[in-house]
Amino acid sequence: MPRKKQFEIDDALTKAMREFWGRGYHPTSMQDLVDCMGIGRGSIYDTFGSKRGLFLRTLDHYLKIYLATFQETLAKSTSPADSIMNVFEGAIAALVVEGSRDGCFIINTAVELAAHDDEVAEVVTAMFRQTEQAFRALIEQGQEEGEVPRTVDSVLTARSLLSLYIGLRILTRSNPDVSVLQAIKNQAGDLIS
Amino acid sequence: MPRKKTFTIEFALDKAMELFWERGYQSTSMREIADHLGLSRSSIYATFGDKHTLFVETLRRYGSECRAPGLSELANAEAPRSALIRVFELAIGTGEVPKHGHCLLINTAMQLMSTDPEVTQVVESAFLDMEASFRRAVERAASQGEVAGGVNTTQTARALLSLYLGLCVLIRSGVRESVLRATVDQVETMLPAPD
Repeated sequence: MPRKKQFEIDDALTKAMREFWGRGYHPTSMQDLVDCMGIGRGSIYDTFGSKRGLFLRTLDHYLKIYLATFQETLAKSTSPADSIMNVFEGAIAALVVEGSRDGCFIINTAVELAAHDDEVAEVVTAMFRQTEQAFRALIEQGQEEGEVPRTVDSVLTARSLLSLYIGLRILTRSNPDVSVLQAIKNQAGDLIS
Repeated sequence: MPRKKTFTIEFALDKAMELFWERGYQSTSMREIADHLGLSRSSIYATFGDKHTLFVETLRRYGSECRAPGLSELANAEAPRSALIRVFELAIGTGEVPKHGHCLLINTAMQLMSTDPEVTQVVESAFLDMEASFRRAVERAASQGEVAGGVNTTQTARALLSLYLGLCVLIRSGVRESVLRATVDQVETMLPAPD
């Protein structure tokens, strides 16, 4: 039944995504994928073509989850500036509340593969561009609402927020003092005030 | 008589670093390291024990010897504000920067940190060192009047660290230079010259 099949594919993709996310692309073997996805090697090849094909699908899958989380963050925020703060707070909470040191799948992938793999680099940079544009839209919306000063350059500041955010996600992979992470969030706040 | 050692430890660590840097930890085999050094695997095992020990040693050496370009000059720079900005300028470089990325620490952090406590500890202390170098430079810049008074040195140093790490990832991903430039502009803005 087609509907069931889609559900099964999503479930398998989520499992494969967790594996690639935690370990990286190269260190994950086909056998690791067979084990974690609970389906046979033949089915994996039939459905996804290759390990690389599966990996690209998991990136796509992550992108959907990431964008949904981003929308949730916006929805529970009280204003555009508050949204930006909550995006940074979310990265801190992943470590402090959930104890996760896996970081961001896209950023991990950027570091492992982007320099060697043009197709992956394209996915990664598109994702960064989307994040930059979301920051920019929030800054400009904040300016419309009088919350963010007009003197803030929305393009440059959105790009700085992107660098700051990526750095924060990397730092959460080590074992930093929360005060370090809070200082970075505060700096993000200073950039838009 | 023991056979004369035909390589220095430092040489071996530097050569091994090139490979780890380029390919990451898991994807680099001891055989490849031996080939790259022109040595037998047994002499590498005899000197360093195993791949993990060798890797942690290269990481320590990277932390103490190489670091990011420009970072080692921060401590003695006459104009610390300019030297700080230069660290970011150098990261962006002039286009001939090797595409495999700038920072072994970051590459490693990404691959191993969730699972390897020893590596995590080395990387974490290197990040702390970077933060401290940034902070001392900001403090000196403030006390020399190169940066306007009232700058929050701790927050600024931590933000500089985060911007630097973020910038390294963006460079590695091949984003447009205008996006990278924004980070350098931001660093200048965060270190305002006095009126």
